[in-house]
Amino acid sequence: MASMSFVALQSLRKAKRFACIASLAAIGLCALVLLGWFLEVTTLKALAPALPPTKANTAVCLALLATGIAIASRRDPPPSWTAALPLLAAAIAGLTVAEALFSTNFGIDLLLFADPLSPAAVSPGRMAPLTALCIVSLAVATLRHGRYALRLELRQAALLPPFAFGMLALIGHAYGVHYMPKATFPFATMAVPTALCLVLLALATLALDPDAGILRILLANRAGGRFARRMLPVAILFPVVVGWLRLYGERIGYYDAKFGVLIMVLSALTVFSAIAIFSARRLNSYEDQLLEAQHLLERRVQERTTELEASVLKLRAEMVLREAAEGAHAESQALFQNALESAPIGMSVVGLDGSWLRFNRAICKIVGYDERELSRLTFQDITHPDDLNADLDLVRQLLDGKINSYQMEKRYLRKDGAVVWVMLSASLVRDGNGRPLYFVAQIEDISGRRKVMQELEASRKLLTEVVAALPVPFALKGEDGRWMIANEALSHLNGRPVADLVGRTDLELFGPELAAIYRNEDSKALAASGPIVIEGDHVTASGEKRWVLKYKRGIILPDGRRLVAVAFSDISQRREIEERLRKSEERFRSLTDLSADWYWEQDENYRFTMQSGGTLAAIGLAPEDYIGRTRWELSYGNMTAQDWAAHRAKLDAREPYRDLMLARKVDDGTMRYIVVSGQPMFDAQGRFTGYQGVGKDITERKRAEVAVERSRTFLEAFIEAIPQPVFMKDAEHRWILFNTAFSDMLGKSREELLGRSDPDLYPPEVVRRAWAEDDEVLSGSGSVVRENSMPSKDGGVRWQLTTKRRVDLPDGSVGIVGVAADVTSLKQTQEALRTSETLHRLLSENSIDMITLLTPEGIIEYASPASSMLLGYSPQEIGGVSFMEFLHPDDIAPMQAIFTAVEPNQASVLTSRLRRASGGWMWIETTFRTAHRDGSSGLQIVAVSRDVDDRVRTGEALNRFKYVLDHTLDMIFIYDADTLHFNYVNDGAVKTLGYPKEKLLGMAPWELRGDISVSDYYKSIEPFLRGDIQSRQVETVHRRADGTLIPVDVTMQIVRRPDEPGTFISVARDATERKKVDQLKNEFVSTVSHELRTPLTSIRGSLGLLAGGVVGELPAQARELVDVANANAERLIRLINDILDIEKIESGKMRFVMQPLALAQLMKTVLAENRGYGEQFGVRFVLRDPVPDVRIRADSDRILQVMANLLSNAAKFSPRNAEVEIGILVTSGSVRISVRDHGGGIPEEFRERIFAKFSQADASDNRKLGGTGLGLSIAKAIIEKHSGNIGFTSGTDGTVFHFDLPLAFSGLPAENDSLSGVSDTA
Amino acid sequence: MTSHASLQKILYVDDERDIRTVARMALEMVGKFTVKACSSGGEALDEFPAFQPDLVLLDVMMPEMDGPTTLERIRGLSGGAQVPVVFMTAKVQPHEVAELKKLGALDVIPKPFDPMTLSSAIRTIWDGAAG
Repeated sequence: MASMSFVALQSLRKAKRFACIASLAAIGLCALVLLGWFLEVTTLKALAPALPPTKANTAVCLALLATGIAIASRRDPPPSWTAALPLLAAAIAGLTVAEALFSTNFGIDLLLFADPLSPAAVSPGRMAPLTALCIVSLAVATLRHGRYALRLELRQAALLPPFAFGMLALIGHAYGVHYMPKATFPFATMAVPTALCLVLLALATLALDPDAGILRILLANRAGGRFARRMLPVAILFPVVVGWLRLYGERIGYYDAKFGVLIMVLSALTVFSAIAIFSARRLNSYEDQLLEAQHLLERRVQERTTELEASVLKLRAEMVLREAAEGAHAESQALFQNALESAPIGMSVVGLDGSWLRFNRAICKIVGYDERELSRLTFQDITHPDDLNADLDLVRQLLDGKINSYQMEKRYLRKDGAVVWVMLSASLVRDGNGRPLYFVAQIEDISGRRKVMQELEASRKLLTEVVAALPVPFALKGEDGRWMIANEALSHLNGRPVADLVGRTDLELFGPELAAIYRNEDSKALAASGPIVIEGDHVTASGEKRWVLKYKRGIILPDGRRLVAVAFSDISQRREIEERLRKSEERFRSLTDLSADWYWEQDENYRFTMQSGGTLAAIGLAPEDYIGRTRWELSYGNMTAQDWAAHRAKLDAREPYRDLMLARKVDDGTMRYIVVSGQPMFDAQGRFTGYQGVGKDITERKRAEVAVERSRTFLEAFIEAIPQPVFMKDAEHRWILFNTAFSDMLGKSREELLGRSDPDLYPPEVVRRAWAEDDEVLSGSGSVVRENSMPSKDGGVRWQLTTKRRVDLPDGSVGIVGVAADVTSLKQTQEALRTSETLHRLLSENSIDMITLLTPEGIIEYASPASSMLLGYSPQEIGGVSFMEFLHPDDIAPMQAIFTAVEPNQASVLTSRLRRASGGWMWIETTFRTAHRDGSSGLQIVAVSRDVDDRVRTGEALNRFKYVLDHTLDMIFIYDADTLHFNYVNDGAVKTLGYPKEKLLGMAPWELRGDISVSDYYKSIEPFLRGDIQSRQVETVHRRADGTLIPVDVTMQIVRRPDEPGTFISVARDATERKKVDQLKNEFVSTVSHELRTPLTSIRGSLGLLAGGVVGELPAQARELVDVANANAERLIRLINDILDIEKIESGKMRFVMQPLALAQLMKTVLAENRGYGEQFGVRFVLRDPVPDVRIRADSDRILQVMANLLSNAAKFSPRNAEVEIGILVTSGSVRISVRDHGGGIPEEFRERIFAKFSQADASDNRKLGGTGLGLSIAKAIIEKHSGNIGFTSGTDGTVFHFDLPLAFSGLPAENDSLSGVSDTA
Repeated sequence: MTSHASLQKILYVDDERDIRTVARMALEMVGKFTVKACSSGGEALDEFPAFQPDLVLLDVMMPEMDGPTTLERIRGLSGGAQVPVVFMTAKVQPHEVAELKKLGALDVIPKPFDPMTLSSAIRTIWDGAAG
């Protein structure tokens, strides 16, 4: 409201200025008067000639008063002066009044100047009493401050006399009226200066208080003030001017006093009426403005009040919060203070200059200074010089804002000069504008830790060095088999660098089997009190096995860690040698012990050094005969000098030799034979040390061989003498003996036959027959005689009569002796005889083909019995009938063409239809051959007819089928499961897709699909290949040759024959139209359902209000009807909701907001939301299992919908007072939620279609239970959109519905899942 | 929010005359509210300044000016910036409800509604906002 102050600031200043100027003017007047008195100039004393002068005292008093007022008009007047000067004036005036009253003279009147002019009657120089009273009154009016300050009203009342008398005098002078003739007291006319000064000073005094009393009213920035300021000049000037004019008129005699009064009254009346009207108009206008402003103000006030209330509320809340925050702050500060003081580590606040502003006792303890000393130091003072630069550098980075805090290990110099290591953590605190305030530092004494660490480091280094220096492979392993230390020697053994060994585990280095063995060893070592020694494999980096001795020792560290130290000793070489030795010894032993052979050794000069086993006695040699001698020094009769030289050359070349046969005549004159084998020996350095070998006495064998040779020669000579082919076979059917006649018969040389068997010569059927004979011979005892045909050497057939007989040989083996005779020519003669008739007839009689003999005219002369089977006519019936009689009319022409065209011995084939006896036509293939009739020149036709009805008809069907397939509008693709490339595509596919047929035939199914990768395609057909499924319907898109995509419905099916990978048949139909129709249908359903809701809302609402009794109680029957209508309206609404849901799901418009949901919370909601529904049926829903703390990935609302569906079903089909149990079962990756009721179970015949739309077990249940028949269908769709599945089991004791949902990936907070939050089902 | 002393005056907007009748009766007779029922968003905007409702109940799908637009325009009226608004609609898919709430609606009541519980539902919403 500053702009609307009561008195404008400007007016206040003007008033003060006026006070100052008026008082200064009064002082000037007084000065003039006093100057007049001083100079005795009367005109100056009175300011006008012939008028009374102002007395000197009066002038002094007025000057004093004026000075006081002038001082008071300054901004900060000294109160003492403003009071003292007027009081002095008042005192002088008071004394003057007293003189007049008491007719005395205090001598003050002429104190300054003499008064020569005053008449004697009057006291000369004395100021008039009225003037004195006015001065006193004026002085009283100036008492504004100090202890004598008077009330404003009194002061302003005191101004009235001086102003009134001053004005009276001035107006009197102006009018020339100087006396009041009938006054009761002498009234001397007041001097002009006095009157002027009084008026000026009265006004000046008034102006000293511009915002109080009269002036406040006048100067008010209000209607009244403005009005008064306008009226005041009129109010002052009008009476003065009119009064003067009236007096002047009277004086010049225009009218008398009475008429003057009349004029006065009239003019006053006119002017004041005008003033009244004018002021009334102004005031009215002011008030109008005021009212308008007030109205505005009120509105503003109301608005402001509302705002204010709100902000007060806010403020109050803020205050509460602030109080709480302050409380918390105070508490935390107290806590901080406490923590700071009692913290075991040093905590401090350090100034930007490094001075310690605040710190706790722990710091004093660390640095050894007391609190007083430390507070005079900076951190730089006590930082070790070597660490100072690093610390200051970090401080600079803190100040520059490059880092927020830092940590360093540094040294402080303690007061006692010792060095103390600390861990310093420092951060910088900034004010709200980001200006740095101080550092906060945390200081921890880590001297002890550092010392231990250093010692530890040293001991670790020592250990590493010792281990590295160990010449023995050494390792230290953790209990988990991880290698912690390994030395170079071990690296050498293992073949991996040390760095590759350390940090790896046994499992990584050696694989699971060995790791398990090593773990076992390690635990043994850990359990044993001392080292254990284990011999075993060590597998090197290259996979080579090294045999090692391992010394393992368990180490248990003070912290409970268990380690195993392992030292290795590579014993592979030793082991290998041992192994070899053992094997060779074994071989040797078996050689010498288990045979009659002997073993020998010779030195480097081939002299015998030893012989063991067997004996050489048989060949007439004693050890003394050969030890120390060479072999050629022992006389062997069969060896010439040349033979020996060759043998020696072999020896000198250090070559091994085998089966060197030696013969020696012994004392009884018989020959003895031995064979020896030998091989050179070398020592470890590879030097030749001699030969070793074995020997064997073969004299007996040799003798037998000679005997056999002899008897064989005899036998061969004998059988050669037999002209028939003679042979002998062993039990394995090998020819072991035969004569030249035999080999000649077979056309093979002796070498080609000896030791060979039948398969080398004959085809398999002959071999089988021959061997069957052989086996018969071998199993019996007599002879077997057979006549056989077999391929002859010229490629024809040879007939052979063979006699075979079993031979038992002396060595226990058996053989077959055979004599063969060639009977081919005999056979050929017989054969020729037989073929002509017997065979012929046999053939025709037994053939299923109908054989007919026709005359060249086509008359049937002979028909085989097959005619009755083929056509249903007996041979007798068709004899003598023309072949044409049986032909289909369409086939007669081609038949005649054949008949006219045939030439002897040429065959033609015709496929034609023949009439059957039973009626109908049959497809027959007939081969016609024209032949000479039995040696005569006449011709006859041989016709062989065969039933090809099935073949032709199948072929026709196939053609028809292929035609249909080719011309089907659907696209049909056939491809094998192993190649996955189309091997059939129909014309429909070619046309629809626009690829050339040849190109399409080379393509693979995924090349057509616009939406699937090769690997995904393979994945998709896996269930087919595994045999899990046989067919599948897919909605997908196909890419056409021009690149456009068309939607298709594909039915894929696999057709499988045993042991074949199978064939896929894929039928694809252009779904563009169907999609459009679906779209239209969906939109229609959506619109219709939505439109239905609007009237339903009204119906439901109206019925609800009626049923609720809102419009009055209904008659009982009406009430019942309304209830029925209401319940059905609700059911209709549910139905529409369900239809809409189904439509949304099917059209992919239902949105799913997938989020990780805590299962426990979800189940709680499920129970709470459905409890009421259960109570309607008297059924309780209970959780059977505690809900595990898992989360599923699902849309909460939709899962609640599924649960509501399942629970409402369960409640409906449960008996009253039953429980419906909810079960939770978590398996790996998914959770199964089940709902079990104890109803009567689902009827068997209904189970198959329980998830189908609008399916309900019992139509009669509908009305009773109020279901829509869509609930389970919706539930199934929702669960499937969650990648889950739903199912049920049902028995007479109730039904369990269950569904599985995937678990959410744990460890992800719910918010982060917004990435995949919303997903359309499309 | 303005003071929640009591819920008395409801400005209800729905273009369907029958629904309007039923809902108004339900609100007046069951809930004992003072109801001003309007047939369009425009009418609601005209009535709002004089009626100064405690709560506005809005249909969503209306010709000329739909519910969300009406809500936006009410927010520009004197006393309309803070007035609680509840939608009543047949479009109650979760994402649709979420979008309506995003516009500043307190809650969404699904159509068809139960006339006997409509008032208590609104009161519950009101209390929820007040608390």
